[in-house]
Amino acid sequence: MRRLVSAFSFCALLALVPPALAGTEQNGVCGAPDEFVRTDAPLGQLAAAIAAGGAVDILAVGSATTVGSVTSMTPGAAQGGSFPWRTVNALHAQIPSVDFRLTVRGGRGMTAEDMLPLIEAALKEKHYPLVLWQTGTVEAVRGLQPDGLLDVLHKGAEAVRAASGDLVLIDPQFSRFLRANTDLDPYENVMQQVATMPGVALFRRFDLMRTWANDGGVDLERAPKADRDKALEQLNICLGKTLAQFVLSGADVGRK
Amino acid sequence: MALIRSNRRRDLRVDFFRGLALWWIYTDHIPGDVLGDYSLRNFAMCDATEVFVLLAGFGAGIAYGSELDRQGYLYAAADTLRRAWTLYVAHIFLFVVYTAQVAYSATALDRTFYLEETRLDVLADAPYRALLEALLLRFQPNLLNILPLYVALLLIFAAVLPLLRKPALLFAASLACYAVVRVTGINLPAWTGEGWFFNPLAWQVLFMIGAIMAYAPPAMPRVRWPIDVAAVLVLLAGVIVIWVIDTHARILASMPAPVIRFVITEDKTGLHPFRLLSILSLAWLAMHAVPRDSEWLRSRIAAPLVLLGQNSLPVFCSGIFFGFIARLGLEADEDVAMQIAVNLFGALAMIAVAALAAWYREKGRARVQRQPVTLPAVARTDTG
Repeated sequence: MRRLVSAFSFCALLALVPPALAGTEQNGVCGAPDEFVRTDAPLGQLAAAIAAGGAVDILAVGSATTVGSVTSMTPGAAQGGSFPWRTVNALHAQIPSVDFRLTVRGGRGMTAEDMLPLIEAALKEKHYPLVLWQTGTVEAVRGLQPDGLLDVLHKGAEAVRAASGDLVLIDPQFSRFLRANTDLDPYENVMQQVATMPGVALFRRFDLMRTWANDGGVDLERAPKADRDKALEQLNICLGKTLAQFVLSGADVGRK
Repeated sequence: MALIRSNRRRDLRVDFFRGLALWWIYTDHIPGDVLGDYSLRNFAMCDATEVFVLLAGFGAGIAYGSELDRQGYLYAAADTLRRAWTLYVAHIFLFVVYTAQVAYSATALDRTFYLEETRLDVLADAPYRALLEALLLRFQPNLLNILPLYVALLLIFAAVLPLLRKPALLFAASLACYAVVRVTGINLPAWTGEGWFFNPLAWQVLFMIGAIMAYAPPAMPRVRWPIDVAAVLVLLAGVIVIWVIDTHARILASMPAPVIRFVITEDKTGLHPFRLLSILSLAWLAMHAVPRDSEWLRSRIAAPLVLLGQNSLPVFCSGIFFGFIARLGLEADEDVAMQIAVNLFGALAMIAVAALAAWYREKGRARVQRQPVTLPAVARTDTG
């Protein structure tokens, strides 16, 4: 039933989108299958903040792909172009009446445990109705204990909730190397489990990017050298658009 | 001259499955290799690493156990240390080769993410320190963490060798150590702040079980079927976790928190109990499904894997090198032809390395036998 409601509300949301934007861009959201564009998890805090209008502060915390040094080939090139920025751009485009403001925290090689204090500190400074937390990669690469990640994410989710915010977890980005050389499953499972908490959703970036790669869409690992910067930009734009739709679908469900 | 060593005492099943594990290690570690989707890890809660460590323990139990009986503790322990040293030197050599290969490719192809993925990026940040840490085995680039584990396991084994004669005590001590590690999370230190990728203090339990099974196999229970059923159930549970729970997280949500925690935090670093049970179940079933005297183990079909298994050290080391070449191939082109090419290349190249190693060893052995002064004939089953 909830799925049905969210499907309806998503359609309703699409209907509200200005016609100029509603063309190819919004329809497929970079060709992302529906399951990645929508969440059943109600994001009530974000919904309330959007409904209140004015400014909505978003906190993005993560490692390299969030802070914007994805491949470090051209240092600084991705600054401001990382997917959280693209998400905010897409949100702006979608709901121009709301002023979405982004704060980015974190850094390359940071674990969830490293990020938790950053989140707690940020939450004390300002009210963030939405927190984007991208993590899991560093843990998987280093083979850290999955139950340590579980505890940290639990704590983080509770902190965000206590500060009247919604949390969207974002899992590692797709990489054939990660898939082959690390044991990703436990970390993915931990994130999925935390996402069953109220006010928490999981944006499945790994599977989404794999779908794109398999369907002949953007594929960072297979992009020729000359096109890599372009591919990276396209990836961030598409991730941003999809994530924007994703959180809005949650916010809409929350309003019902 | 036969390249495959086989005599009455030798259990070719060990060689065969070890060869299979080596082949899986090759395919599993090549990003984008389709065969990686069909290896053990896709069907069981354990993978080639568990197979490799269990059989390494088995090999060590036979080789150093028989030395213990013939030559006494000191000699057997010294020989175990010699073997650990060989593995250590091989690891350091592989470290240098792999670093050169990856770093050169990263620069030549402008793909610096190779360095980040393999964790070789710290080499640029602190090169002098990195070399020292690599020698201390506290810096282990991605993929180069199995040999350090093997070295550490042999060092532990050298220390506890006399306990082989009291298998129950050895097993109890090993299990107790494993339990302590599981509870406390104690691990050997690593440079970057966390412990080893494969915690030897946990993985030793699998190695010791292998060694005990080889040196002092416990009497088989008269009624076998309850263990068969239990083993099948464990493997089935693994399949359910991999195929159902990993993809539908909400199924678990209604279960008690400790159950959820146990199922989803299945870690490889500390050899999660589920993984341990899975490999033991698998070994139990395989042991009974494939009798020791199976004819097909001596057939031409099994020969390539048996050959790989009998020469595991050179095969493993060269496999890492070939694997990176295969990766470059798949990154250039991912179509069916390239998939076939890289897998065929890897298989043939590893078989060639194994054949060369086997030929060289047999040649050397034949010379030794011709000489009037005979050297002690050690029943060594394991060179890899």
